Amino acid sequence: MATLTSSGLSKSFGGLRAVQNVSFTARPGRILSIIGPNGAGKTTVFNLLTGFIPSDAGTVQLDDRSLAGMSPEDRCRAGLARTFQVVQPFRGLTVLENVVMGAMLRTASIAEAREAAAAVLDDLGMSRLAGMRAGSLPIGDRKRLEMAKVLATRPKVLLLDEVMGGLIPIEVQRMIAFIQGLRDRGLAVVVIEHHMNAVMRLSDEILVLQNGEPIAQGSPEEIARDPKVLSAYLGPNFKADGGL
Amino acid sequence: MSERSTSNPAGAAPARMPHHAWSIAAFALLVSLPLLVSDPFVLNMVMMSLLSAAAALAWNLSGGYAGQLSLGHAAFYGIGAYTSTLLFLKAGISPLLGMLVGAAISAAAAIVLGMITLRLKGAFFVMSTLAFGAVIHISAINFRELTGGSSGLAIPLQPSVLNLTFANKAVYVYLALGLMAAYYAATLLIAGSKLGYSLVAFRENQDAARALGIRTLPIRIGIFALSAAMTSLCGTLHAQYFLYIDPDSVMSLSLSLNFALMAIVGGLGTAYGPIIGAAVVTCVSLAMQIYLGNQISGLTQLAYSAIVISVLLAMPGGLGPGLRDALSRRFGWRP
Repeated sequence: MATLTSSGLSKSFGGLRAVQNVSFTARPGRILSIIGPNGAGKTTVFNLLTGFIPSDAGTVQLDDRSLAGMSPEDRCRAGLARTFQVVQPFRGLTVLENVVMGAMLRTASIAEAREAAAAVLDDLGMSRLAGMRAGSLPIGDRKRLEMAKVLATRPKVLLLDEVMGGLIPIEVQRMIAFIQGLRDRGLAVVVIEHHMNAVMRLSDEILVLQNGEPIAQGSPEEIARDPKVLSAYLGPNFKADGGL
Repeated sequence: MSERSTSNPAGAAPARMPHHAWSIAAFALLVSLPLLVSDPFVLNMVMMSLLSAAAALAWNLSGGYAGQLSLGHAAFYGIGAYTSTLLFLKAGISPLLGMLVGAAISAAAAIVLGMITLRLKGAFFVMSTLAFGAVIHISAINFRELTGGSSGLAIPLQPSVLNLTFANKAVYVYLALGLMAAYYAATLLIAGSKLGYSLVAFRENQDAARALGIRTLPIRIGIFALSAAMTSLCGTLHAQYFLYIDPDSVMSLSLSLNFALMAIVGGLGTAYGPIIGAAVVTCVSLAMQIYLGNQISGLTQLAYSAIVISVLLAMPGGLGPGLRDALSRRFGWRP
């Protein structure tokens, strides 16, 4: 298992300061949530962490190893995996083949990769979808497929970008339980989520971004009471225990 | 995009016996064909279909599976033809060795070109291969001292295995058949391997592939080089079959377009597609030349284009997958 440390991460696009001085530590067996209004820079943080976008400043470390200059594929090999907010399935392939693409990372044999992929689908309760074309799935299943693909790479640190968007309440419940299961297995999990009740239930720690800057960091209880967070994002009437 | 993947390489993994039975039956038929047919026109048609099929299979590895649409593959074909021919004419080196040298040069050229251009996406890559093809073509015309320019090079008819020259044209048919069978087998092997899966992953969705730890650039350059080397061997066989080459017949843009067209018509990213496409395109175009050739100029190309367009409108995934789907809908039978 591994610890992901980001310190002083910054990125500007032209005159727009998309991410400024973001620092956090994601530890094994803990769930860190990143929340904030649309355009706060949450997904950009994931792009910087995974190397899809080069950062202007700051460092990213997996345990003691600096990830500076590493490509997204090499960061995934090192154990840092992500999902995409806008899901990125291999549309023309079946669900099983999609997951095989992830499972290939840890084995040279396609037969073994297929077995591993089938096991991941089983874990997520998706076995009956294995033969379906990914492009034909409804959005809820696509979100779960996105999850299945990255889990098949056997990550140590998992970055989940709005995996609950578009899910119906019962699916959200299941997804929460599933992510908690991953944490209990010792993964470090970083979650970007708009679904506030899910965030409050899942998180061990919350980082709040506004206009690219961290404005608060702490336990769910601290965040729910923080006046800056209430005015910037949650709204004055927010209650942490509002149910789903 | 999604249409062409109906028979992606991943789908080839659970091997069905009937599929192989069909391949073997078709192969047996082709083996016996030169023995049964003596008509030179038909024999030429078979020869050109097989040679084109080999070239289309080579193109398809990079163009179909990896989605790297090259319109410059005629350059590799030409490098193969000219390298073996020049080595034979100027230094007396056997084309058996010369074709390997040609393949090595083509692979090296593809690696250099790929390292520069495979970082480019989509249309930019296509344009750069187009330019590469044009440069090689024009160079062959202009370096007259070496290549004979537009008047081309003739290979003397000195039949022997070492000279890869045979009086009986049927021998070439078997050589082309062997080459095609080897390329077909190589395609199946690659399609079912981690390499094939990785190429398809890149083709389907580059970002998703990278996010899953799939290192795409080295394998994409590798498959481009392999495809180039395989195309190059076809070029040598072309030279030995006709015993004459010139830049327009082995390096022209229309040849590059044909490789792509045959794979697309037959079914991109499938192992059997390029073979079907090559047979159809070659036979149609040769037949057109014979029956319409001299009547109205341009009619051949017009009729040819009309046929190709109709095929692709009716079966956007190509003839191979299209016929397969039609058969399974009609009779519940998937060959």
